[in-house]
Amino acid sequence: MNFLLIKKNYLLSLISVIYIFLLSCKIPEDSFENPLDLEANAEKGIFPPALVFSPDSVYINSGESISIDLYALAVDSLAGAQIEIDYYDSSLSLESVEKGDFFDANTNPIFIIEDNNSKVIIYITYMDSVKTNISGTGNIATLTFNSLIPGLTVLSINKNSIFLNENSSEITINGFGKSIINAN
Amino acid sequence: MHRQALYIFLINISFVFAQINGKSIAILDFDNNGINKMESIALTNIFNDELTKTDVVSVIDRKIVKENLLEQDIDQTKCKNLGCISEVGASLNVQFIIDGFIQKNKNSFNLEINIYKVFDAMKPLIVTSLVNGEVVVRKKMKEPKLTAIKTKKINYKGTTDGFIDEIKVMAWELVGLIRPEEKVQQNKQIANVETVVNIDRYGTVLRSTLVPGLGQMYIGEKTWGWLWMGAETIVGALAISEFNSYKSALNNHNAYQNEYLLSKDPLTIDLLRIKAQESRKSMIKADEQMTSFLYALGGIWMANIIHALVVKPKNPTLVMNKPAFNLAYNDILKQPELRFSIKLD
Repeated sequence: MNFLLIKKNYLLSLISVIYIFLLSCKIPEDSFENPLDLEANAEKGIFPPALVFSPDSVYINSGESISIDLYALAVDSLAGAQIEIDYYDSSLSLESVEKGDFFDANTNPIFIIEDNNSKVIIYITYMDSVKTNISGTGNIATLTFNSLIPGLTVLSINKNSIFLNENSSEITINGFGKSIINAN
Repeated sequence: MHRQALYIFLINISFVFAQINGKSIAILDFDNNGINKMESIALTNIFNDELTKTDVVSVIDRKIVKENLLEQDIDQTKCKNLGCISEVGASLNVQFIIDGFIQKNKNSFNLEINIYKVFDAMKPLIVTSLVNGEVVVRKKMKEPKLTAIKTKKINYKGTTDGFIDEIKVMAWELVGLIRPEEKVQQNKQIANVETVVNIDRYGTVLRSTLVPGLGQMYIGEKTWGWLWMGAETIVGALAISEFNSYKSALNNHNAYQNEYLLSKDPLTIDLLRIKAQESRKSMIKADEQMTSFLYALGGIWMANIIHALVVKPKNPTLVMNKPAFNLAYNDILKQPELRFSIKLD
């Protein structure tokens, strides 16, 4: 018997097993990228009340459509809003804008869309017969875009956007979110 | 005709055995030629002991025979006539007398033994009567020739050990038994028992490399063997346990991460983020513990190999592998036997 060979092979296999054992213990990095996470947003400099997109980054193929939700984040006593969204119309074309469920009440909200090529403006008013305002986090609208060309494009909320309470007084918006669309 | 002769022969043989078995026998020192008297007495003693072991005849202790004949000033080796046999038989109160003759010539050994019936030797030679106050010989009988009821011979060529074996076989055959083969094997083992086991150091290390503690066990260091094996098993089990904890924490972390990304409720998002962070902490802790245990495992493994390399074998011989005292049942003698061995090195 070739003991030397056996020993060498055994040592190699043992080292391999230990190595695999150690390799299998990789610690994954934390990735808290939910655009509705207050803590994660705070790290990005977005503080409530804010307007954000979800998802805030997305990979699609050129020519495909993508739906992006617009959220009001941790807002208090909201009665109406005027939200301006900027996009590059050479990269994206707006297909549709659907009302979200945040303003839903016993009476449908006033929901008006204005598409001015590279800017879409959403007007929305809370119309409940009992309550006069809403608070918290919720989906205001869902925007569907079609990717026109490959490349990176940014969807952003214009700082002219405003939140109003039931007295038509402005609520300061502290954070304006973005969504990065990467089309291949 | 042949069959008849065979029957007669077998009847005679069984008759001789029947005559001897269960009777008392005294063995006289074998006469010698080519060996000295001490050797002759030693061989006689071996024959005597082996015949005793058969347990079918009552053999008189050689010491008693010696003392008795010394008292009567009888030379054992010269006791070849009727008168002497008769006298010895009467004084020892035995039914049979065995004498023998050993001859050695280079590697050739010859042994001839004769069995005499004492009663035959005690027949009167003359018949007397008292006539007018005088002893008158009425009849004078012819002195019968001293004839053995059985004679056995060995012609052996070889070593003294072989000749001794032959003597032992002869003792069993004399009473119509076959010497058990087991006994022969046992004797061979006893002859080999002093052989020192050549401890393979490389084999020891290799065994310990393959399985911690195995090399130590191989050389008889069982306590050390179990110690290394136990330590490696315990630390290994702890490492595996920590690995399982790590895997469990990893699965939880991945699940919480997925739920977190899909969630739209800020409170749930907060909760899932905290849970995911806790899982990650558990994962890191388990990983650190497991790494420590793996290092310990490697350390113990290396120490075990070094120990196997330097440790002295506790039991270098087969003799030493056995306890000093052995209580066993001897199949040959049909009785329990207590053995005692002493380490001579």
